[in-house]
Amino acid sequence: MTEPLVLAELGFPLGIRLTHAFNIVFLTLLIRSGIEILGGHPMLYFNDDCRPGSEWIRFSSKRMFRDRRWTAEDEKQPYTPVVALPGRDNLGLGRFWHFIAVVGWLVTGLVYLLVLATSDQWQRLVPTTWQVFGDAWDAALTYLRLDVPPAGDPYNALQQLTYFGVIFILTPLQVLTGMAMSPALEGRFPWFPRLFGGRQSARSLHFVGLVAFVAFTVHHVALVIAHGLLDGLGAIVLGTETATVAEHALAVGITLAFLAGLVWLHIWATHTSLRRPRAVHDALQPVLDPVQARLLQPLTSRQRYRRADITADPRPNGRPPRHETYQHLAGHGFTDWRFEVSGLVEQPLSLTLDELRDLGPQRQITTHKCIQGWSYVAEWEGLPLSVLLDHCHPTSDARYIVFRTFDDKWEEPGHGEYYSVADLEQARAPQTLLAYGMNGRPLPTAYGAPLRLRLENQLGYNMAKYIRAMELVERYDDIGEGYGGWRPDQLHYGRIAPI
Amino acid sequence: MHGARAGLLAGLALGVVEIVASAVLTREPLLPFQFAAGLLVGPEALAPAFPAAASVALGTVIHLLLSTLLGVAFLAGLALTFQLSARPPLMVLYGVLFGVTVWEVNFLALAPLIAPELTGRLDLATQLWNGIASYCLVYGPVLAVYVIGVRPGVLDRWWRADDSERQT
Repeated sequence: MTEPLVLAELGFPLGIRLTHAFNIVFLTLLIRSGIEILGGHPMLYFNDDCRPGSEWIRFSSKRMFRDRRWTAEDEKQPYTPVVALPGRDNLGLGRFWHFIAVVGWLVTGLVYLLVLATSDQWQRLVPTTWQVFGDAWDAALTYLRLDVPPAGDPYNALQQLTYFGVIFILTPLQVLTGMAMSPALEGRFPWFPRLFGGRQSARSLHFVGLVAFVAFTVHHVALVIAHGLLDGLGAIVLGTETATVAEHALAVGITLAFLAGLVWLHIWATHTSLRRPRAVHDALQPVLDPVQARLLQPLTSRQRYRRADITADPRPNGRPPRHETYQHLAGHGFTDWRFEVSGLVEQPLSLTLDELRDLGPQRQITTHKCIQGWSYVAEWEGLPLSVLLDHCHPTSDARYIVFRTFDDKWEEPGHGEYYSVADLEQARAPQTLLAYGMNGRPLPTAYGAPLRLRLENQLGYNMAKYIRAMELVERYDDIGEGYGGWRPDQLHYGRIAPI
Repeated sequence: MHGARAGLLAGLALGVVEIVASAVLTREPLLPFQFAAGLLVGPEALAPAFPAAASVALGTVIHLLLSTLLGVAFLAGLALTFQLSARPPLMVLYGVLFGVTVWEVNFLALAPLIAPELTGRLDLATQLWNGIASYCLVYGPVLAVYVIGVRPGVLDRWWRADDSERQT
């Protein structure tokens, strides 16, 4: 007859102990960089229109101007580097850290699941009888009597249910709600964010999940202390359930060294990001770009929202150019404006707004998703970029399209004009437009008149507004600072933004 | 200053509820005073020989001092996380969660550490009422209601403003 398995005697194998440590590293990076991202638009909603005042919570004390128009950029709330990574309004680098930590956390999670599945360790966490709920209730009452319930094997039922919930419910929920905020995934599978009530609900749930992780961590640590800190450390650091005094000392020493290393890592990451942002950008982007380019960038948008979904008075972002030529053109209804197509094309073009319209309009109702976090739904009317490409005939070595604009970024003088870069394949996607109309009217100035790009699987900053020209190129590293766009150059955003 | 006021107010409300609950559940209306006094003088505060007047005086001072300090902590926490202007339902939720946290820290961490003998004196019903219920439903919410009413330091009542007021 086989002896019954006593889980408490199993101890923690090396795989569990290592993944536990890596989990702490990546989770802390995720939390701090997540706070940085939250500062980009410190409000959370349960509606995708994000109308000012409709947020259910905000993390900002900023008061918007009542005497003049403000834009979403005014709403950003820079957080201190003590809580945010890196802090001080560094959304681009915060996103790099967040996504690097996501990759590390997911790999850690997969290794952890592998160890669980290939050993008896899964029995620690997965309840196998309904009795667990009754036992958990009893354990909760025992805690309420200010007592510690008898140890289970190895956990009591309440601990087992909590660990199960965190690992098999909360963690997948965090991953899925994070994915639901990807414009590429939302574009290709518009039903996906609706599972959570929409993109903004997913963002809200993602934040609530973060709070739940923090609350769990606090209680987890408190209960480890209540049940015996030294034995707990002996088990999770050394893998032994019956540690000697010397082993306890060793476990405490290793734990303190680990915590010191963790603090150092955070200080180093924060300090380096603030002092040498370009170096961090250069180091992290090459790791993330191939992952995004392979998994998300190829997803083409198939959004079909209803007219009833259109957001009334959506939030604008950025201020219109003060460029003299632009002011003149706008003053004359853009009748003198011409759109220049040049670079690696067999047929350079110079088109008026009417000529662009005559090439064949397309209308689509889609969501606009800003990197800051807010969104809105609008109807766009414009020329499919693929049609224009058919007219100008790109040469075989053309790989990217550079969109030049009138946006002189007067708010930040000396940093050049706004431009963005799109992949040629992306430009041929069915919903990629050069939009000259919005919600049944000519494109308003605040939203990019006379012409703006619509790349429906990207975040908004990759869709240049106030466009004056497009140039087909083989490479973009000799344009601006060489990162593939004004925001990647100046604010360390990624060149591609499918998430 | 607002934190201290809120804490004092919430502490008074909590004290009254705990005295009533103790009188009803254990017929020992002085128990909350004895518990609070016990945090300073130890288990002797619960002994029959300990003067009732001393436990009332000492218990009142300790209880109100702690509730005032915790009120300051609550408002400081709200201010640091930009939550002084949170919507009223959310503010009440913060109050409830803060009440749970205070109960956890007081009874699950501090009391066993400072005076472990005290914890055995409470049956489940008293613990539930004098502990979780009164902290969650009285102390925390009273703090929240104070903030909702006063809104200290809040410049923009964004949850009330309509768009025409905000964006001109």
